Amino acid sequence: MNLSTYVVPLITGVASGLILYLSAAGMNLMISGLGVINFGQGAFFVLGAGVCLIVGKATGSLLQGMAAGTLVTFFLGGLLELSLRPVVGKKMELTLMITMGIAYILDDIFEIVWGSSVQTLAIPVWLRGLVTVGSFQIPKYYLFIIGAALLIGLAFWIVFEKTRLGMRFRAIISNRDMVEALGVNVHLSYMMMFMIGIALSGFAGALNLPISGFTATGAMGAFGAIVPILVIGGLGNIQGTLPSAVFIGVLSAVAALFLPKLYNLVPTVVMVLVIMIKPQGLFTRKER
Amino acid sequence: MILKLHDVNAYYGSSHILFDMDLEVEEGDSVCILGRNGVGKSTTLKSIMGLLNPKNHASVTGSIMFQGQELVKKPTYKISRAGVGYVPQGRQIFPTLSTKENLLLAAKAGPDGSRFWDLDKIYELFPSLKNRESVKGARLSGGEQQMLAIARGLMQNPKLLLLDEITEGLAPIVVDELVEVVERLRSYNVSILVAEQNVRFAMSVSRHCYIIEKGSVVYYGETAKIPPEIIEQYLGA
Amino acid sequence: MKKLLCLLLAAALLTGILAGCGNNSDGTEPSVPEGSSGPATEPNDPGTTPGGTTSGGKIKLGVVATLAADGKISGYYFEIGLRLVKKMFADAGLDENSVEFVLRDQGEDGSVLKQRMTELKEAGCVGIIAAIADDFGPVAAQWAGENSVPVLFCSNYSTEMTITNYSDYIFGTGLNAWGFIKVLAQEAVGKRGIKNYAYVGTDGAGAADAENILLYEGQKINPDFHCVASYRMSQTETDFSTIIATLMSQEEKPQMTLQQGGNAVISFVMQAGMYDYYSISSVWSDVIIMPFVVPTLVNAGVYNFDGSFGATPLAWWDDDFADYCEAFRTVGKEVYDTDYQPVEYSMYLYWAGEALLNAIQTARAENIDITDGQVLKGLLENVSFTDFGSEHHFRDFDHQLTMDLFFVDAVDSGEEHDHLAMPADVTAVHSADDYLPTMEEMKTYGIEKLGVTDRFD
Repeated sequence: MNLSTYVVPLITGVASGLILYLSAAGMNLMISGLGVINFGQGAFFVLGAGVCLIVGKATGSLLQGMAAGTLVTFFLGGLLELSLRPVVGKKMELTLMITMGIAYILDDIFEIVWGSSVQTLAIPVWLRGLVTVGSFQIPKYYLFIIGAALLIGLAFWIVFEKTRLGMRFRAIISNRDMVEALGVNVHLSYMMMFMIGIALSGFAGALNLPISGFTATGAMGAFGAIVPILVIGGLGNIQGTLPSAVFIGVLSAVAALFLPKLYNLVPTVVMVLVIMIKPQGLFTRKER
Repeated sequence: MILKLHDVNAYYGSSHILFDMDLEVEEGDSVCILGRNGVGKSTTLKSIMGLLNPKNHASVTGSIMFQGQELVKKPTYKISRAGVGYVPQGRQIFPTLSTKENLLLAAKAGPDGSRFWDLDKIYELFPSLKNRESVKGARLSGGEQQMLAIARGLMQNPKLLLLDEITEGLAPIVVDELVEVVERLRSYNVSILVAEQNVRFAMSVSRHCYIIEKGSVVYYGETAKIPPEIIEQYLGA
Repeated sequence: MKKLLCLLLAAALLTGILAGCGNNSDGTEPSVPEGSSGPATEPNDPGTTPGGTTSGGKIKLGVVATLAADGKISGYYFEIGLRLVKKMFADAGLDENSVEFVLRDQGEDGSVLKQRMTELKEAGCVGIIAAIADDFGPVAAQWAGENSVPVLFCSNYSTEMTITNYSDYIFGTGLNAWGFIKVLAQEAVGKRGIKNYAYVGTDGAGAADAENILLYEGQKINPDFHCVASYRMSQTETDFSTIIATLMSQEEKPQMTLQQGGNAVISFVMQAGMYDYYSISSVWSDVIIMPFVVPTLVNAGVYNFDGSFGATPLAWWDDDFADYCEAFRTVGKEVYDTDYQPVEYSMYLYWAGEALLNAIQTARAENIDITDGQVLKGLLENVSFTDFGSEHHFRDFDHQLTMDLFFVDAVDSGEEHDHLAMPADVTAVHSADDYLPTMEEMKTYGIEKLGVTDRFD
């Protein structure tokens, strides 16, 4: 069989997975740092896209739109953290209900603001067309996605591992109480975690806009799309997010190539299998 | 007097652990709290540190005065900033942070602005930590972790250092090293309150001693002068 | 604790308000006591004597649809469509005093739908317009038969549903999926010699129909016509890139792609454009030549005029239809402050209204009292009307509304594409007799493909 039959679908699958990786990584940051499962993560994905649409159209620049989408969601993340503060650390069911409620409310608000028809933003001219690599042709924009996602992933890793802020994040994730006992006011760190976690989703949404168009009511779909990544990578396991997303991307390529009739089911089925066989996730390391 | 507990009662849920506890520490002194397992030694230290709170389904009543400030109902981070350093039971080193990062996270000025304990000073007192500077906390040995936990407590430039069961799980030779470390701390005029099960260790590092049974003080006196029958009665193995 | 409770209550309250309160909203027409006479009859209603010959009772017609929080129907096309139907009735002398439309939310699943329709029946409705998704067809058909109340189904009409779940009381005013696909097959395989296809669409009932019948009809013309790949996705899916990449890289590439799935077509075309998919395959669908799709895609720089084909029952080139569009726009502006063009669903509703109007006018002309659903059903079976050049009646063996179908080729006018203009040329007009499956064909299909042997006997 011809190698090129597999390469482009694989790269495409991985690119799609990487968009979701960003949103899922943000989710895992909030789960591990604050114990909050943010049901509204999909809503911020949509919001990032929506703001990108408005700003992108007004300025004619996709990059400005993406920056705007990321910034708006970044600051709204702070607001969200404040509103969740009374319940964080107490019963998880409460935060779940509140974030779910917020997600539905935002869903309706988005529909009112943007309308229910699908809207589009053109890919900037410099990102259009196909790139020929050997005997393969890959759309430029997908390479851009891979590059942007990996870049953000790298930036995230650098902040996490090499900066003071990241150091505080890592400490809080492993032992919240001890950090407080050292005199650190953890609330500011919590807020930063939330803002970064939400902004990652907003950025992902903006990145996704030129390839899927903007659907105001896509919040629940966007949330559902990252669930397999979260489960397979390990809920709250930040390090597992990237390999899990790439895995899902490869899976979808495999499904498209060999199991078209079951394409829709593959991520869900694999997720269920993982829950049954290794519920803590495929990509978790033993030490914790 | 740097620390004074008066009529302190502590509860975990509906369990009453400390009963009308009274305890004092003079400035510059080193005091130990002795007692069998489960009598409330750790709970005393945690109460001082504000770690018994509604979030943990626990509560403290009474008064804990530290340098003129009431600590009861104060949030933990404020107690730390007021000048109380805590070296917790089980060390609780951050496993994903390096030795150096564990220290840097704790670095702050004391309540009077002093920055006496910094990275250089710590490495002077704990040379082995310098060698393991970039090693992640999870990879340190038990003894190294304990040194790090104490060093981390010092990095906060505290006026009072709480040591909670620090000899637990350590080899005797390491315990001996700890005795040396604590003695050196005393020479720097750090007030120390030690909660210990290891009687020999506690008695070699403290000048005054409280013995606790069932959440109340049953004996107080100079460590050197505790009658053997008291030790036998309340701590007899 | 208090803070927490307040937060929870606020969240619950807000969620409740915005999510579900549309469930029980009623038609807003004030109820009129029985026996009052309506306004004087209009001149264009020749058969009725002044004051009407019905016993003076108001006729109630139910409407089930998904309702938004403010009581309007969720899809603007249905909301505006219904208002134009009421206007149609009013213009014919049947205002809310004579004919009342009672609105109910359809609910999330079949059992709730049945409940709502029962509520409408109990409220006195003799007929129901069902502006619901094609998936709910079987449930609606079942209910209609069990309750002897005619239901006019305003969605794409799945032929498989007609064959397997038919009841005498359901009337389809939507596009017949078989017929639609037959036209595409004739144009693709017959006229253009296409030899294979790929299917990318939702897993809804109408969609399953579409692919099976494309193959069936295509093979009637060319027995070698076959499927290259078939993908069924969820309705909310927007990522087709891996599928497109796969189709592009296969050894045997599809020459045509049948794409179904409403708004998802936009995502599909955007991604297809990125891969230069049109260099291997044209894209066929019902919406790809629609005004609410094309400008969006043209703006994104991904619309391919040469490779986009579809069919539509909307007579964009008819002058009367232009008037209808104008009326649609006006109402759209009033209600939503937006410029809207009609889409198929608004026409299905309109035709349902027209059929009912026809039935009621006939009843009045012939002194028939529409006392219950059975009577209305009989009248509906005999309605006949023409609009926008197309003749309409319900076929006797499957109650499918006849309508002309226009096969269109997308065109680039060179000017800016405005969402109110139809960017396509009619290449062929197929009349109902030509494209709707005959009873024999449906019988054979039923036996061969669905194991249904007792239908049509």
